Amino acid sequence: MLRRPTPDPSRLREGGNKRDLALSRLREGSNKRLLLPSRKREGLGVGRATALLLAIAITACTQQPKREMSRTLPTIVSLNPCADAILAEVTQPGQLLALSHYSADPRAASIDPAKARLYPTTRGTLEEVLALHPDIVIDGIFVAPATAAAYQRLGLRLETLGIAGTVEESRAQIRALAALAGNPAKGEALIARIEAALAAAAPTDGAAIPALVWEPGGIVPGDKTLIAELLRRTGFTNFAAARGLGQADQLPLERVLADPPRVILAAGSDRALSHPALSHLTGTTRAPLDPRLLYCAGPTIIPAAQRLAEVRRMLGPTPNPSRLREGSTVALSSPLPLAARARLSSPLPLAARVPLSTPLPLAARVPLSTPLPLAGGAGGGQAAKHPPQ
Amino acid sequence: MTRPVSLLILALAIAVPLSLLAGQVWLNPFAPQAANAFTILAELRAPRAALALVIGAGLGGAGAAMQGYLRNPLADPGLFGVAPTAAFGAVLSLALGLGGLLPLAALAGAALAMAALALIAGNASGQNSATLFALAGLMLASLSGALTSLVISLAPNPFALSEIVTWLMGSLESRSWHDVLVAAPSTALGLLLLARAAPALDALTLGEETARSLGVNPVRLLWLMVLGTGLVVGAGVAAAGIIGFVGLVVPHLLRPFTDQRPSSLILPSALGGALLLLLADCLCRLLPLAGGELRIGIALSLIGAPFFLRLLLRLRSELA
Repeated sequence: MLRRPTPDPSRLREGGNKRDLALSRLREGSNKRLLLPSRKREGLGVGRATALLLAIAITACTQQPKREMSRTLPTIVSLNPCADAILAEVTQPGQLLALSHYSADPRAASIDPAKARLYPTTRGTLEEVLALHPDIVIDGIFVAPATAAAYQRLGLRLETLGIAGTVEESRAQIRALAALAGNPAKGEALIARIEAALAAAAPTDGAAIPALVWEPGGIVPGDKTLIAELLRRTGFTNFAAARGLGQADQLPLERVLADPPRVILAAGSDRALSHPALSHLTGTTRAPLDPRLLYCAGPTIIPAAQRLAEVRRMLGPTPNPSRLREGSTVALSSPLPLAARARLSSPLPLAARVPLSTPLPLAARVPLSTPLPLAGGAGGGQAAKHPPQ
Repeated sequence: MTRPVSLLILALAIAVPLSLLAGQVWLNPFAPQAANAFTILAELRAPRAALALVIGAGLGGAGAAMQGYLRNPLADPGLFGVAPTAAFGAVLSLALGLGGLLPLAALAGAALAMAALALIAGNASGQNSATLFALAGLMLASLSGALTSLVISLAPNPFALSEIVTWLMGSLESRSWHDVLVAAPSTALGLLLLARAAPALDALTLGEETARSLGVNPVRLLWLMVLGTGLVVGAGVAAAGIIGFVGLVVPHLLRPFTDQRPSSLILPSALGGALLLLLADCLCRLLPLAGGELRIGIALSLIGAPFFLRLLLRLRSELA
């Protein structure tokens, strides 16, 4: 999360020194974590995390005095679909003034549609935001420079949310947003729920099954994405990465047929993903994966992990994955996707609400060709959503 | 006429088996070792080649008929506005998230265009009927183009947007026998109707009055043309998106080898269109691009445009 232009000038004046102090302390305290080599490679990670801490520090200072917090909780307008889902969890009633328009569309939303209906949405224009007059506006990091400048000009405080490529980054985002909203405890509660879901989704046996997450257009996720981490945590390996493919590379249908993975997690549907030729693959299980589970981190991690764990359980223990991949032992191929759908629409807590209970017209989504981490499909959305200013 | 036809059939007989070798996975024809080699051949490459043949034949034949009917070398099957309207139907289904209904929506769009043509210019008889139809078609094309752009700008999310734009470029990627089944019957029916119009088209080359005196019924001819091209183009759009160029170029390429009568050009153009589309699709399959397969519209222009330009150069030197 990058802190962008405008903190409220008056607030700055109030807490300037304290903020600097808190900031330096926070930075010292967490430098080790920030400079992990993996993070450095991610490039965005360090800056994002630093900015996160900045935001935390500022909010921590500007929210004084604590006793009056309930009365002075900042109002928030979210223009970022991934922030929508998090904010709905970490705000008090009345605090979140509007969600992004993505959340109103069940096909694009990462938030539970029933929950999304509780809030109004905006198309993301400056006018709408101004009319709502929030204390904080939250947008994606791809906010158009002209828009960012306009917020600054108009005295609105803009915070941006990046794309979380790991569970750790997602945790930091939740903490930052909860801190912004003045409800750190709610953030911790959400994180605890995510941790519990991840723990419950961990495989009971040790073997990792090669899984291909396949999106329309033959797009596959790279290894430094949230979904790749979730695969690892739920007993799979990223089949595409093992074949040398990177983020948003394409794996054509012919290649899949010539070198089939043990399981295909079809995120969406297009001609290739639902091609009849795939039914000839014995030894390959095909299971649908709601593409909305790929867009965002935050609370979406819970149903995503549950879904992956469910697929992993269906596949059973694999004493010798290589033998399974030959397709000689079990023919698991055909009826599984349907069975999975049916099972998921039963009233499971979150998993059922988010993933497959609605008849999703999934064909409508081809991921962007820009190399965004998967978890940030919605981040791409932000990039595309701003009308030319 | 027989010479180009037999040559084209020979070329197709060579090209079709060779086209089965084109793809992302190399299959050794003598000792296929790749897993699922048979599935790749039978379920991916064969239907694709069949679809290229069907759509190419339809567009080539329809192009030849249209150029004969309008007596204008610039005419192509898209002129009646059927393709853009069919595309609008398809785009609408994509934007609404009903991708499964796409072929149906495209065919409905094509039918709508033909119904609109009937309403606008159906009663026209006399000398200007063809012009009226062409103008009505142009307006339909313009209107549905605008509506398509509108749907694109109203796309619910970037994924739908990207899918629509990619689809509009036309492709035979990942098509199955199901798509062949969608396209083949109506293409065949359309070509049949156009073949029935062929004798009247021959008479039309002598001028509209003469044709009438030879017993040509202009209204019947008009409807044969509209239904024939509508069926062919609608089926093509439903299965593969908008594929231009074939209907315009192929008749020109083949006309010098025929006796110049429209009726003797339809069959060679159908065969030539099939060959051109098959070759273009092979190029698509073999050229891996970062953004996915090469789009067939691009491949067609890459293959066809140089030929066409060379043809124009020769024509120029002949005229000079």
